[in-house]
Amino acid sequence: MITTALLNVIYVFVVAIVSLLRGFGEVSQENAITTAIAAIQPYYVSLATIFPVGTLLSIVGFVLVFEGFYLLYKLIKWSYSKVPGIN
Amino acid sequence: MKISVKIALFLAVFLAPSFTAFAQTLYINQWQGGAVDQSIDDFRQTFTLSEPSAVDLSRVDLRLFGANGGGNAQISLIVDDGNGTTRYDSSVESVPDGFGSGTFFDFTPAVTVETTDTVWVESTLTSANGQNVRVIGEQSDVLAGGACELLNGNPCNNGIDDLRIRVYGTTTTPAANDIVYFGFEFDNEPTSPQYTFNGIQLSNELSHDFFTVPDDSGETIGGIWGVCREPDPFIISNQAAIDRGINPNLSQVQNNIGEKGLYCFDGNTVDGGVQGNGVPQSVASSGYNDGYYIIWDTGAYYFFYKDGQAHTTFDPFSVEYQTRNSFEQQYESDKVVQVIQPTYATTTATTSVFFSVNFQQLPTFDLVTDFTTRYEVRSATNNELVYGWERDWVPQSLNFTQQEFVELPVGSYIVSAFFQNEENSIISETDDVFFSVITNTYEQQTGLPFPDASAGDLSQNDCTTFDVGCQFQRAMVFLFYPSDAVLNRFQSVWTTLRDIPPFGYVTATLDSLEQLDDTATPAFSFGNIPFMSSIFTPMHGYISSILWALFAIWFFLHRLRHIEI
Repeated sequence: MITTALLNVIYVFVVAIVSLLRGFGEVSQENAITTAIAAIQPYYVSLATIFPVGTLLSIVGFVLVFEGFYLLYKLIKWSYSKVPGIN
Repeated sequence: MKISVKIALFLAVFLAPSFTAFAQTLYINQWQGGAVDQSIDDFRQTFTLSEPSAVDLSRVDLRLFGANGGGNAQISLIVDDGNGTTRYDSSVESVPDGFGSGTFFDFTPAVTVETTDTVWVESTLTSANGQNVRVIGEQSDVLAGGACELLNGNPCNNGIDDLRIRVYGTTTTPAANDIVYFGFEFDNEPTSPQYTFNGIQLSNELSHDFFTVPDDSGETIGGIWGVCREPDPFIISNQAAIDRGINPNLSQVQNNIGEKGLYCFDGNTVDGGVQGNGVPQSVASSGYNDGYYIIWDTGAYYFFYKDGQAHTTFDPFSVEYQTRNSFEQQYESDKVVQVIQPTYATTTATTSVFFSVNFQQLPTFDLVTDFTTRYEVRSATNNELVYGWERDWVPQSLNFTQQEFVELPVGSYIVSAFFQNEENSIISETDDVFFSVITNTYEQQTGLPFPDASAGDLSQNDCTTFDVGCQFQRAMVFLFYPSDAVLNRFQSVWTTLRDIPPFGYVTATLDSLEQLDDTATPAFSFGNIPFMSSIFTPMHGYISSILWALFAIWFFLHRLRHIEI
């Protein structure tokens, strides 16, 4: 009950944030970032013969995932601080 | 934040699974055999991909085995994305007369084809001397012109294939159960229908195959299933045209006598079943691991084979064959449906049940759009229909999720989601999910969710009144074990969150990184350095370890130590 109640509170804040963010619409899967990544493929292949480029990309992916979750956490924390009566 | 907490956080996230891009060279497709009549303007090969998202075409090999006097053809090649955008347009190449002539077109740089593209690899052949560029097959004249009558019993070419198209490319390795589509078409454009079938003009015919990667796929990418996407891609209306006298005596297709259509059949069965006119059995008995198309009409069957050469080590395809029943089961496998919510064995505490059902139409050549998406809720006890939702398919929407709350009485149910055709026949796999609606007075009185079935697994429900330990355990489970319902809510939030900015850019970037293919055509080469593989390959592992170690140190010192919780 306690854990569920806490998760329900967090859920309310998450839903509030998501509701606001939905106003931005959905990100196209073919945007400038993905196009740019696709464009580096031939160079990636060339360099991969002598250097583990895949490892670098994995690290980049890891950082992105971490920062994404951290950003979400900060958003939840910020919205929580906006609740009247909570410092 | 305490340093121990930071270290724990660091370890938790750092040890999370990472992703790697992996790939292998893929020999995308080969079509071999077939016919080019002088009246045929061009020959097209088409394919599209459901997985992976993009492919780099590196070469198209056109090989024209012209009979003497039938060669001297002019070949050009166009790669089009199916939407009017030309990706590649070759100059006209001459193919000398005689057998074994051919040419190929290398794409430098590679022509990248996206998932959404329908790719046309189109070759235009013109006979230089006005004679037929003649055709096909091992002791068979399946599609032929001139002296070789089409399906009329006069073999040409002495068993030499006349036209072969190979498309080479690289792509990321398809995962198990991924489907890779390709196809080919005889096209009558641009002016008038000129492709004839034993004197009968045919309209544009389109068929295509797809490969389904088997679950145990390893080095090979297996499964050539001859599938015709059009309901009747080859309708043979002239009985004389099919009066070849082939009696396949194939139990698998006996029920189809009287139907018309195009069907792919396997060499082994053909070898054992087909007699007469030596059409395919000689091919089959030669040990070729081939696939055949069977064209059938009332009481008669005809074949033309698509792959008349023994597979070489260069060919990674391992050919598998399906019976007609399997074929029919797979026929609509481009339609995918999934009940996202409720999940299996969900027990709701209210009568308002949230449904989330995803429908997908994978990119295919299927032009048939007269079908409906539907899900329905039936009683698990008497199969009575309780609720149904359906919507006509909107071709522009290849992927959508229907979400709604539905009021249901207390009971157990099965929700089934599927595609159906105009006759209300189910034409896709059905996704079934069992769930229950159980209201409980506890929640109604307290407003708090009741511990669900998962919590109950931990809790002991048969405690005696004075069994303190048992009751204590029940209390702990009740207090601290989160309900599945609340966890499911977070899952649905994530489904939404992953597509909206700024998180959508993160997921899109990660998806793109995962799809990088390290065996694609390189932009440049370092040449043949002696001992390159023996030096650099082992070093990859060491360098990777060093990179991860350096990153771990940097991440801890410059990120985790300064993070604000």
